[in-house]
Amino acid sequence: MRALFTAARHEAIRAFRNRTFRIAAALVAALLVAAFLLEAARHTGEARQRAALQELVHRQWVDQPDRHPHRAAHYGSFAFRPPSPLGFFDPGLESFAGTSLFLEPHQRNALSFSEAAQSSELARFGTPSAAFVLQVLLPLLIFCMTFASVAGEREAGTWALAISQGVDARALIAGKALGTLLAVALWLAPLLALALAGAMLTGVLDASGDTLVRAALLGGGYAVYLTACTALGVLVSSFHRRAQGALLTLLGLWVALWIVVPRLATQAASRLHPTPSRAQVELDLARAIRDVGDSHDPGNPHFQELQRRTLAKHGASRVEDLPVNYGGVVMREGEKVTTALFNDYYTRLFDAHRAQDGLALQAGLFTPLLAIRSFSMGLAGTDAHHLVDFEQQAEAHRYAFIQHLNQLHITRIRWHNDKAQRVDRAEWSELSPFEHRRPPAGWALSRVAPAGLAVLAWAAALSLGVALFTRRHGEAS
Amino acid sequence: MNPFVAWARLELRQLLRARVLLVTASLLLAAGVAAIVDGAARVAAEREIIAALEPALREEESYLRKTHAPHDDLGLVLYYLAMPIAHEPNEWTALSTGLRDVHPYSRHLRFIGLVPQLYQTDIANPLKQLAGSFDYGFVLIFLVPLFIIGVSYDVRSRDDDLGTEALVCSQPTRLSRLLAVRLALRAALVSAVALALFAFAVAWLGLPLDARAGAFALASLAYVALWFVLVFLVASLRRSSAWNAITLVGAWMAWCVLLPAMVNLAILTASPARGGVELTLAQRQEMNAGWDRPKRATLDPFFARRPEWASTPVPEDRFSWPWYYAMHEMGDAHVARQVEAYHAALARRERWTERAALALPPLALQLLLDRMADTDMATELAFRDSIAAYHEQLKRYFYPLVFNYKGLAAFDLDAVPRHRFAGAGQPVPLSALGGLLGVLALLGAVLPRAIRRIDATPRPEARAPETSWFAGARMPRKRAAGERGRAGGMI
Repeated sequence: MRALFTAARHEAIRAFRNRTFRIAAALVAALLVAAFLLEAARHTGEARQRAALQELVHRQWVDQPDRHPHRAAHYGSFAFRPPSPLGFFDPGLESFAGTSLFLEPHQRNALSFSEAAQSSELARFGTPSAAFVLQVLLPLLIFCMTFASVAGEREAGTWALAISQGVDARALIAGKALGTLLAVALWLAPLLALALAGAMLTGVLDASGDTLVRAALLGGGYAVYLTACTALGVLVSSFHRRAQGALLTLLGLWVALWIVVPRLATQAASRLHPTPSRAQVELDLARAIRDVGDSHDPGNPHFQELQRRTLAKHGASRVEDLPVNYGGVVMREGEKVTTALFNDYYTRLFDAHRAQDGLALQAGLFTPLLAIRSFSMGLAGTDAHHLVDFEQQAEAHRYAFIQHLNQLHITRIRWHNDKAQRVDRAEWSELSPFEHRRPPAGWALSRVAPAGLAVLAWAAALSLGVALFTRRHGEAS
Repeated sequence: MNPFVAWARLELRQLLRARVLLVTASLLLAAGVAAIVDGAARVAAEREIIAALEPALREEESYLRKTHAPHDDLGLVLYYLAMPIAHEPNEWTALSTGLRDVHPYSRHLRFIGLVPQLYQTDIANPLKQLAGSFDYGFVLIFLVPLFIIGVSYDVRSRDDDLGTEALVCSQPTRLSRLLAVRLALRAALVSAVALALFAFAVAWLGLPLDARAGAFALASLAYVALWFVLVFLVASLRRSSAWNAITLVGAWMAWCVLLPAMVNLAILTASPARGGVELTLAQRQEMNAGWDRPKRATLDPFFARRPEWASTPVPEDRFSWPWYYAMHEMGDAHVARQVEAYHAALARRERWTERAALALPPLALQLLLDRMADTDMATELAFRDSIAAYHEQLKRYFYPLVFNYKGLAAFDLDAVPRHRFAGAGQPVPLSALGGLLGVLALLGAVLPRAIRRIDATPRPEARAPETSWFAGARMPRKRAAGERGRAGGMI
């Protein structure tokens, strides 16, 4: 045990004595700080702007004059997607997801005005977020720190020297991995803690239990991920007799697993699980709507049945004699039918997207990057699950909102001369604005648990690899 | 035989004997071919969807005729009618996805207000959008430089590693010339791979071999040359293989990923393009207010815009279709200024990106390729302009029918104008090409110094080359390179 700590301390001190490491660590730290500050500024700006827009839309809604309820329904409303609080750490899909959603009758819309849709091809190069630094850059730094850990000592002859003096090879190797982690943690952990505290003090993050749980899980996830990267570095180093060979293997692995495979995997997944583009979605939905038929069509059996049932319920023989406005009843039923159709279609579409992601994540078993990316976005609240949850909440709000107005149509507007009537504007304040409820941390965790387990499996397998490999080859130098 | 030529042949034989290198080159070729074939399949699927739009429109028409009587107002039918619009791919589109998966390449346009319809985004999987496409552009711009680094990071330091430093230095030729030959051999190999891929793309996609193709091939070769010059500059510092490899990968990371991402953030912050949502809200506010105003309040300014309809009788006390569509047009007109400002802001971002490309060769090549493929922002903006022009074309066609209160019977789908957009036909962006060549020239300007440095530096015994990036601090001083091979035996 003592040998382990001595080796770890030695490795950490060695790292800190090295000028190149200090420069590299300082550069990465500066990049992290810059990413935190810029993203936090952008994030709070966006949050404030979207909240202001949501309020403006509600004010405009309440300020409407007396209107026919169906007219007010077509005036519609908007749902603005508030950015996730932890998005300043990992923006995830933020820049590709639309920010506003128009809520109107007969129609379920998609989010529009995403950041990527408003920028040049540079959107393809991404934004430098803290999560990107931790996911892609830090492994590179760790590989540069560890490639010589065993192979370099072997080359210099100090490895054989240490072993011949009775040092346990396993303790030495574990110590090297631990020391590297320690050297990284010593400057990274305070930095991240500072960022967290700063974000809470400045109000970028709310200090709720949910945020803390998410932040803690994120911290744990990245600790496991960086452990896996360190173990990989040390393992590769212990396979090699020369430091340079170890470095080249590690750089090759980094290019393959961090750069090539993630893109290749998502591309292959979208090939194997093709999903429709907008034009196709529009064609599919138009066809589906034609199939259910429309409420204006007097020959439509569904609406004939509705009329028969409504008349029977009120004991009337003509729609003119009904105590309710039959026009509104038809609107309500039509909304129900089309909403079911849209929901069914979008559920299948989103499931198909998730099937793509799942397939890519399976390929992610070959690279820890995809797993940690998915895990990190999920807990930061910027992944597709959160996005779909927002769309579903907005859709539920839209449906309730439109049906409330249809109810006004049924009860407050008379059948005769329907279109010329209005309801009092006092009715508008009965409708509350859209409010997004953030899913709790447990919900998020359950969605990304497979990805989290994949990161854990990587770390476990690599650590085991270090232990097993050392047992066999540790002394043979 | 000239000893220099003999030596060059030896180098070539050594290069071709390296198994890893040939395997990597084949992998790169395979990745490129797969990317091109996949891109071609993507474009073929897009063409299929675009081809399906017209039959679907016919289906919609017959449905509208079935559910409406011939004497029903045409205005009512036009409320439902959605005309297809499409941005047709060109031969190059298969090579670079660009922004084509962010903006829908095809959708439907209704006769009602244009503004909210202009900004619909594609209904795509956002995770796929985030990851980006594995297309030819990715292989060329991101992977080829990594391949170059892989084959040539040790172009000088390999003599340290192999212990042949003394041998090489004893040659009558200057070291810089030997390095140039080594790099030239490697550059020939990489260029061969790049050109083979391009030739495959030309053959598979049927790219026309015109000036554009020539400009692109030139840009690709300049890009390859650029990375080799960089390799030479790093080699001239006479550091170890490990140091070179890390430095070059660092340069790749900075140039291909970090700097573009920073520039992106800078442009987003410095050149805000707010107003998209605001103008949608303003249009909605104005258009809906029309319902609460006297009809004349909408019609008077409308007739001022289109005096040819000023004599149309429009009832003041009840709904009518001429008034309805006039109201929609006035909603659009109300925000015309804002729309213009918003589009100008988007175009400004594109221009800043072009300027940034002058210093960022990967971005320059991406812009060049996207411009060829019509998948850039400028083309998307031109596509939107074409949609606005088409909306106007539809108005010119339908207004005579609507304002004369025609019924569905007067509707003839064959006579309705169709939307066509097959690219903005933009010229080759010379600024991007100029940027590439400019950076190449700048780096080239440093070459003479690097050459002097290589040729002047004394034999490396005087300096201790590191075995590793920072393995150093506690390690014993390195032995001279030549002994390293036997190091294991000595201890």
